[in-house]
Amino acid sequence: MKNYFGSPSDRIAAMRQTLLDIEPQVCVERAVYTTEAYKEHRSDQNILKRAYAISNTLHKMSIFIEEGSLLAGNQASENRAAPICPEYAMDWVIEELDLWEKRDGDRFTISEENKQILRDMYPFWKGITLQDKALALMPPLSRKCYDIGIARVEGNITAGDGHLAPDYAKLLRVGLSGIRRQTEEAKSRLDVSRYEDLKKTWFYDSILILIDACIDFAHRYASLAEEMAEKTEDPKRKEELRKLAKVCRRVPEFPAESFYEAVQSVWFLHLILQIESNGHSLSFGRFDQYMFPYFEKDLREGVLDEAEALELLENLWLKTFTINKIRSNSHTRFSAGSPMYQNVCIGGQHADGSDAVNDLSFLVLKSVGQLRLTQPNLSVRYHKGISDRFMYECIQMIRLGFGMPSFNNDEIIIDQFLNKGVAREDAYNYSSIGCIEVSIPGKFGVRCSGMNFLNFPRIFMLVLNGGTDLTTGEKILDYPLTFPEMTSWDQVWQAWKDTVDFFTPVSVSLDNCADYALEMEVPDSLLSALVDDCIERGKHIKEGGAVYDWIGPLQVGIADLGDSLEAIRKLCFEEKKITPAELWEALITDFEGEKGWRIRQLLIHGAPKYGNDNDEVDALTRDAYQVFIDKIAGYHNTRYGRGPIGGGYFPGTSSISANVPQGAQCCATPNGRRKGEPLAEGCSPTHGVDVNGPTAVFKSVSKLPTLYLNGGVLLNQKLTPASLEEENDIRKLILMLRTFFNVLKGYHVQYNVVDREVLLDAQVHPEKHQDLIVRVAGYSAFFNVLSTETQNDIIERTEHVI
Amino acid sequence: MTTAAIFNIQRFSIHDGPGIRTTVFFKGCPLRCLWCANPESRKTVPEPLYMKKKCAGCGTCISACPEHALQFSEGTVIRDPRICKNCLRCAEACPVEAMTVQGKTWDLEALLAEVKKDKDFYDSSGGGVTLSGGEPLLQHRFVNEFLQALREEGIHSTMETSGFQKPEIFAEVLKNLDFLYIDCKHPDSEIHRQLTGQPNEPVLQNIAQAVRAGIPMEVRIPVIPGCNDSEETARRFSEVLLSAGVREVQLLPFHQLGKAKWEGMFMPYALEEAKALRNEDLTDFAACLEKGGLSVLVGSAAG
Repeated sequence: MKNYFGSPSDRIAAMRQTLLDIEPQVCVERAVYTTEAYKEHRSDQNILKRAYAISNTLHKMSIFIEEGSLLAGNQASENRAAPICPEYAMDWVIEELDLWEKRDGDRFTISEENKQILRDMYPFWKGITLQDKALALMPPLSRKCYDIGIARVEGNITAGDGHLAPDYAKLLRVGLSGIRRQTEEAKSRLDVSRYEDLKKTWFYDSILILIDACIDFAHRYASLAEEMAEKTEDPKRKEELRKLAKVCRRVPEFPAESFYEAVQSVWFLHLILQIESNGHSLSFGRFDQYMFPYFEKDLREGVLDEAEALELLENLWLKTFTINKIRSNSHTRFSAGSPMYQNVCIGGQHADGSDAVNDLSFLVLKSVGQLRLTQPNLSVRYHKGISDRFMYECIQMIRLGFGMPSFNNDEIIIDQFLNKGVAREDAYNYSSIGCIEVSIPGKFGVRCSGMNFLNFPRIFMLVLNGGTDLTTGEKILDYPLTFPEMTSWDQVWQAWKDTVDFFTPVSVSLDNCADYALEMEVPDSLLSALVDDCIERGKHIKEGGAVYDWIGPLQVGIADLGDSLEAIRKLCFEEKKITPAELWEALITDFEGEKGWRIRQLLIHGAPKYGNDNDEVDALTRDAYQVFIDKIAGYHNTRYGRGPIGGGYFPGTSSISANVPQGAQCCATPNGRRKGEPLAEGCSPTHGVDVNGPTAVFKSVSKLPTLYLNGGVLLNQKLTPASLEEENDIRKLILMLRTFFNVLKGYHVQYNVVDREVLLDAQVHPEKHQDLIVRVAGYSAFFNVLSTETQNDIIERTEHVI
Repeated sequence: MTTAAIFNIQRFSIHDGPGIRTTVFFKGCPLRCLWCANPESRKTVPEPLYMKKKCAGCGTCISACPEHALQFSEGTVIRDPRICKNCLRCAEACPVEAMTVQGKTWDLEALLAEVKKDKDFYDSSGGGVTLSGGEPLLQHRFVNEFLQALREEGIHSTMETSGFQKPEIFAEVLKNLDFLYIDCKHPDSEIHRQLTGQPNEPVLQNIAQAVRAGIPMEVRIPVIPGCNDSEETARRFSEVLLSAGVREVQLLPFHQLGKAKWEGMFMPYALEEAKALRNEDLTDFAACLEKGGLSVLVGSAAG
């Protein structure tokens, strides 16, 4: 199929291919320069140590400008190489050093020399990393639940936070010099005799150190570009490099004066923030909005034409694609495909409710469509007034089959924010971040989503088993009644409520331990400088610097839970086709023998399933989830009462690929799911059970209490390419989406457009399908880098032929 | 209360009329077209349908059959139609839904509630409900009530029919219908009888009647290799359709999507070996029709 958006220029195409050919390595420079600085500044507060470490890294790390590149700034010694950030965690790094090359998915290579460098620094870090400190904080019961994987926070204590959109609009408006001035002014108001103010000096000093480091870093590239310009024989390239050098001398220090400067400035900060925190889901925010004035002005004044703007955008996305991260073996299964979730948000509305789509929005679509890469993660803010013309372009991108864009819906999300007390103009300015979740750019703390992952079916089965985990045999609590002893549906329902009552505080305690350790050990000062009101309050984000601060733990296996409850209710108690004891026997033996097989078939075929617009099971799923939603609403995070509006928790289902590993750790469930099989993804129906087509899925999903699911309601739909071949089909898809969003108030949807045959063939002949991208939960990944397990999971999902 | 035999309700149908639709498949058909894609829709009574691919080979259906009409053969179940009394126990017993009961009795209220589930989608897409089959006109009393109810609900209705019904009955149905797809399977009555088991006079009369009534409609020709796809037949199609007042026809290329169902009904399928056609295979046939004075749409083009 011909690319609707056309092909990129030769320069961009060549750079793209070079990046695709790379086998990702692990780079140790960030680790080396951080260790060096921590040793040198061992007496300083952690917040200053971190600033010195990042500064040291930015001053000493290898830098390069790729052939043909119009932009400068690299994360590691080679593109797509993943840095090691030792202050977060080192145990897994050392333990898994030799295994990275042997991984099934997300492979990385590392030289023997670099392995030794990491081993040599290990003794310094042993016992003092974020992970060590967070684990030591955990109360015994919480620690036990963490260890056996019931509630996961591993990603939160082995890397930085991310999960927000910094105030890049402000960066462009005032430059780092403006932020430096603001910081200096705030610092000058301090009274160091006050304990609170004394602490603030460290925060301000760390910002100032980092701002200087950023500017020096940009100047390093300016010098490099000048040197390269001297050396090159090609007059055109010479001119380009000189121009780049000029741009790097000006930004990010000063306000951007052109589109080119704006792109380079944003890239520098976006890059450095990822070097600082090693988090993920660091997002660009509403790119088409804050970049538009520069784009429009340059076009109007003839400084830039559209082709040049397109090339700069594509260059930026290629840069975005170079960012990489290595996760521990166990964590990587929760985030399959090395995703960085660097979200770019376009579309949506202005504060007055008018359509915010502009010419740059179209150009962003075109640039991302021409490149077809896994990064950035493109999201479109849908609203009632968005034009069919723009939607048509979006569908054309969906047809390309790399899972973008995904849609977030203004018609519910703005209400969600208003409902939480977010100011109207901020609610209208929300941005997608990470995979599907949403935040207020420059004003919202980290982790509006992505705190602990709670395995719903597993904790419920544990309670039904009298309090002993069926996967590990660990006793977690004493529950007075086991499932075979239950004689009424009410007892089952009570057991679910008791499950939530018991495990919610456990999961919250894990999040608080992670957050406390993050606050004390690895504060992100540079990031905080780009989030209101950190500078004014003299507090970094984790101390309560942000205007808004809710965090979102994720619940996994919602559809499995709903379907299981319905099967129990209907088959054991309403129709009495099987006894609880018979069902239990089948579950703990993983449906062994003919009897087990028959019970499994009854569970599958004998009870309705969520995702088919069946009111009974949909209501039960909603009610079961509501128990948790009500419960979690009563808890506070570590910033409560320290400044931000909020300071609480909200639920969410953007559980990325966690459904696979959490399914692997879960016994057979009463919806007929076998032991170890993946759980349902996000709020999507259980794989393959949604037999009534996409409208029925939309209806089922819309019955969830979306207004309260601020952490995201992830819905994946799959389409075959054939289903979008006719203009009429595209039109009908748009109409279906409009109905889902305008009338049913759906939160999100994204499409995988792939043939099952193609996927199967890609498993056998990965070499033939190098460019095959699939949507895994909230993001796109190359199919070939996924584990066989995740690949199978994707293949199994229901295809809707439309 | 009037009830109907219905064998399938398919939501998000986008090729059966304008917008996003729900298609209701009525069970029972007076025709016996050789190329029938829904052989389970012929009789009005519920029947078991066996889908080999879903079968677990557990033998439950065989033990459940009181007549011993079922047995294993080469790994799949086969049924002896001479013995089967259509008691449906096999389908009721099947644990994996490989043997299923085709056909369920619906009352008006329940059917209306079911199709209203996607009303939001109809409203915003200009869609509605399509009555298909089988042959909906066979259950015209129910169909009339259903169409009336849809009109009261403000839901757009479409019917896909063979047109084989008494003209006065058809006239009643047209009153509450918003859009009509009507087939013309062969221009010559005798060959029509050979291919479908029925003559074509009522069909042609009803096509003419619908044209006169002015209802928005599309006449469709299912183009079946070796049955009605010759140039001579095309010429004759043009003649009879023009004289019925038709100006435009839509060609539906023959497909083989129903093949597994013929096996699953344990019925011999006359077109088992025939090749499915693609739109481009119909170019010559379409040209003949156009030469004869009709304008032609090839393939499904539902708005």
